[in-house]
Amino acid sequence: MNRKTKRILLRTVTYILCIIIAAFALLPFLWGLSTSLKDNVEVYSLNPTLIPKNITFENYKAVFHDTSMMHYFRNSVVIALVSTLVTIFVSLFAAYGFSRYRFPGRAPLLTSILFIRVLPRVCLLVPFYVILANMRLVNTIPGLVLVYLIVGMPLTVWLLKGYIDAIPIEVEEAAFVDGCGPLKSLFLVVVPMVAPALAAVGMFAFILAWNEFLFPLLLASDESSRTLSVGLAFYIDETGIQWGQMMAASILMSLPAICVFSYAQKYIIKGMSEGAVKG
Amino acid sequence: MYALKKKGLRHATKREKRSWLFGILFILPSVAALACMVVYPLILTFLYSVNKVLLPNFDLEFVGASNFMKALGSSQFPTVLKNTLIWTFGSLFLRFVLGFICAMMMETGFRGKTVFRVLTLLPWVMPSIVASNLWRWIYNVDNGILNYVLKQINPSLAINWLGNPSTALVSVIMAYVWTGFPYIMLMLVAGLQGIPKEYTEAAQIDGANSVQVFWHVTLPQLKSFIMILTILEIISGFNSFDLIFTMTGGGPGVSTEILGLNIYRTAFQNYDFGTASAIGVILLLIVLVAFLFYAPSNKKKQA
Amino acid sequence: MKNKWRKLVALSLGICMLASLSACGKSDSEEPKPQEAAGEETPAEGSETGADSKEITTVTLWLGSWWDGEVDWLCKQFAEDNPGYELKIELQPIANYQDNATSAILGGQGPDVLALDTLFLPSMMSQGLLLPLDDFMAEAGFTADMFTKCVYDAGTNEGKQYALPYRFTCSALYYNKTMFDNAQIPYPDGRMELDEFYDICEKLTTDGKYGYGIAASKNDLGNTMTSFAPFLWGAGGDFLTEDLSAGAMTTPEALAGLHAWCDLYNDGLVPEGCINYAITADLFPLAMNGEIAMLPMGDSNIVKIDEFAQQNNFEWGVTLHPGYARAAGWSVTIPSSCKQVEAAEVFIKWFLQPEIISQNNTVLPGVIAAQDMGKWADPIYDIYIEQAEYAIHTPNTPAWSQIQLIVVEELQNALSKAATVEEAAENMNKRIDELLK
Repeated sequence: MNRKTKRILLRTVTYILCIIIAAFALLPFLWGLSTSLKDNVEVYSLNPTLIPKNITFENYKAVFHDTSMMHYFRNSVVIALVSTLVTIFVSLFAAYGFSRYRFPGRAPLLTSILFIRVLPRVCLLVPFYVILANMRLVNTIPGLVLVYLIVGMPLTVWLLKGYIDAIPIEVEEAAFVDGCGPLKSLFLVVVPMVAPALAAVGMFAFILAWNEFLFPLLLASDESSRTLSVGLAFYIDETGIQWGQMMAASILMSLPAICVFSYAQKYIIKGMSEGAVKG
Repeated sequence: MYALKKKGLRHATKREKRSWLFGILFILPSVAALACMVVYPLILTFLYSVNKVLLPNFDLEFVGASNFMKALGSSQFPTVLKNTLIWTFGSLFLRFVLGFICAMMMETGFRGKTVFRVLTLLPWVMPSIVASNLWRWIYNVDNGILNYVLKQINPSLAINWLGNPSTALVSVIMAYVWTGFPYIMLMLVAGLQGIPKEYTEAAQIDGANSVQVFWHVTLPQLKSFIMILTILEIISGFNSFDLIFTMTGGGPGVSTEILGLNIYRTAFQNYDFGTASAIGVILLLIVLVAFLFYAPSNKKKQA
Repeated sequence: MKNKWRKLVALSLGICMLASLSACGKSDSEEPKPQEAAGEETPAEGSETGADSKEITTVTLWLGSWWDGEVDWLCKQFAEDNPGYELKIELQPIANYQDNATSAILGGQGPDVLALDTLFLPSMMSQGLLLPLDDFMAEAGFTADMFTKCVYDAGTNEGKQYALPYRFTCSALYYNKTMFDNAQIPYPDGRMELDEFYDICEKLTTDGKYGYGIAASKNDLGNTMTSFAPFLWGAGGDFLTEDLSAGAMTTPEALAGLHAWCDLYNDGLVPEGCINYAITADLFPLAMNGEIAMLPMGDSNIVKIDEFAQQNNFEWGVTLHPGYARAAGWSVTIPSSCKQVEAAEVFIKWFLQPEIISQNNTVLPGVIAAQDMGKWADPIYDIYIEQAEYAIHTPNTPAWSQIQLIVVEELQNALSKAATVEEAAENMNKRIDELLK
């Protein structure tokens, strides 16, 4: 009897917490969604309602018809995908190398990865601009990918390294005995076991490239390479904020990320059931 | 590699000679990127911190430690530091608490789990330029949705969230927690996945209740994970500024003025790259010193 | 299972390679023609400056994002009127505009011609980021009296001229006629004295409505100056002494100005949130809802009112703002990183012709002759042209951005009652003097 009531209690508490947190996460979003469906005059109404009095899709239409926005969208998609893949691979190799091998300069190098995060952004803006200009990568996709790689590395390398550290060397030894080289061992043994962290790192890299504002503003200010996050800033001008269109564009912009994440989440949660540690 | 050596496998010697090389090969892409992009800003930051930087050609005039004095000696500095600490640690704590609760909930099964998972990721997905303006509007005293709702309940609850020095910082922290907790939750979920089920099961068999399992099994396993996240988030907290800049600009007065904002103003509004770099150097030194403490304890664990 | 991972790895590598290939392809040239690209045929100009295969020199211009309706005709007309030249306009959002421009100039990749708000001028001029235009003016036959004086003066530093106005946008006083009718007050007519203004605000503040709105936000310092400066100057005070060497906020006139502005908030004649508000983002919506009876308003917002007036049933008018408006406008400048100064000058000479600048439908020209041509001959703009006579620009000192910050911080202290108005003024002076030492 006691255990049963305990479980019911636990369940109820879980549900209540769930609802509160979900509401906290969702409500501002809902407000944004509601705003995107309102016309200019109703947006500022003094009796705001969650469900608009006159639902209008003119904001969404305006965004779709805006060829520049579609162009920025495509840029953002390409940059985010490329950046995610590049970051995952480079960070995985780096994390594996730092974790499994000892070589001179290991500790200083590992710590120096962190510096890019410690240095204030403003100390990076002009030097980055100069470096990219010298490499002729200003206003290009590879240029931004490089910047996102560097900015993301402190988290991605350190996180993956921590995860790989926790995997006992015995697991790989079995593979070595079978004649696997380090690369094979990495991909066939280690990767399945770090899948959750890898997926998390991938999502982080994706969001970084998707939402970042200051770097693309400065380093990819050309119309042809502009990203969606910068494009959103165009809805704010000196006459005020065009809420309706900005929210419509922002919600449309969030959809791909949400899809990607719902998919990637499965890897995070399921990952551990395969390739479990033996013994 | 040392483990292999101990076991005396014959593959070990050949491997050792190559291991060095392999290690370098694996880290080569990342180190190349670092060499490209990090060395130059680092050198410049150190250089500018001890010079007066004259634009537009970045001519230098040696001034020794006077940039550092300017940065640390301003009358605002204690308040800025205090606000930064509250901002950093306050938001970190709240994000971890929320993140943990959500991560644990993700693990348990209940109906609506998938919906919950997607919902909790929404705040992270919103671009910060939209999120900061949206929250600013929500907190708006006269036509924001929050006060509108509160007025229906009790008019005295509808206060000037962003305009009152005593509530401004907390209000912005809540917005920051909203945008940041999904990310912490995600990392924690990834970390929780790395804990073998056998450990928790063994503890439960031994009679531990869920709290004890959490405290004695889950947390210790996550320790290194949490440490990494904490360090990175503390560093972020010291440098972040765009949310606060949009919502209050550091006001009213200096009640929400934080270090990141200060650095930004120094560089791009006062055009004082020397002092901004000096602050950057101070932050670097703090991190380096912190590592001198962290690294030895880490080495112990590994051996 | 191993196969599954192998496949995944192969797939990812494949995607990666494909993506980078396509990315390289995209970054070079060939994109769909967004409106902003130079109107002509050649798509191969890419993003590098001056890709002139024929003998065409491309002039790169940075403008604010609200110009997007004008880009096409500007490019076309410029190429027609100036054979051998081509215009490439890169629109930038107002968010972080100054940092964007500064980084570009310092990184050596700035545009050939840069449009700047008067707010950005003091610091950029004093840091040597802009080139002096005096020689160009002499050669092109431009003189100071061709431009709106207050905006022109904002571009002068130590006797040299660095910026030429193409737009001026000082704020006049918008008022809600219906609210005046309800309170049975005659409509305001011309510049009011500050105490008269206070009385009117008081009469209009009833039933949860407010007479006026002030902006004291710290994230938009220029905006706050637009709100505060008219009162300071209207009372006869100023931020700094005549020789710009010390603060002047504790003079009786300055204190009167401070009180005129702060009392509006402390006596509840403006909305409670004003301590964190910006004019266009926060106060304009409230005014459009009939919550605020009077507001400083620039020409770009004036044209948006009718939509709201019809829906919310009110009538409105514009008159001169009490005190002196803050000189606001945008000017063309040549950054110090420009590598084609001659081409930049060709553009500026062309752009500032009254026939050309008056053709735009977006911004009120700062060239005086253009102000009664085309759309701008509309009577509604007369009040703005008149307001320009009662407009002053903020002090042209290199430390202005820091001084501005100090003033706004202390103003907020006075509004939040963390300090009295007198204490705030004392602190302002003290900190400004220390800065200028």
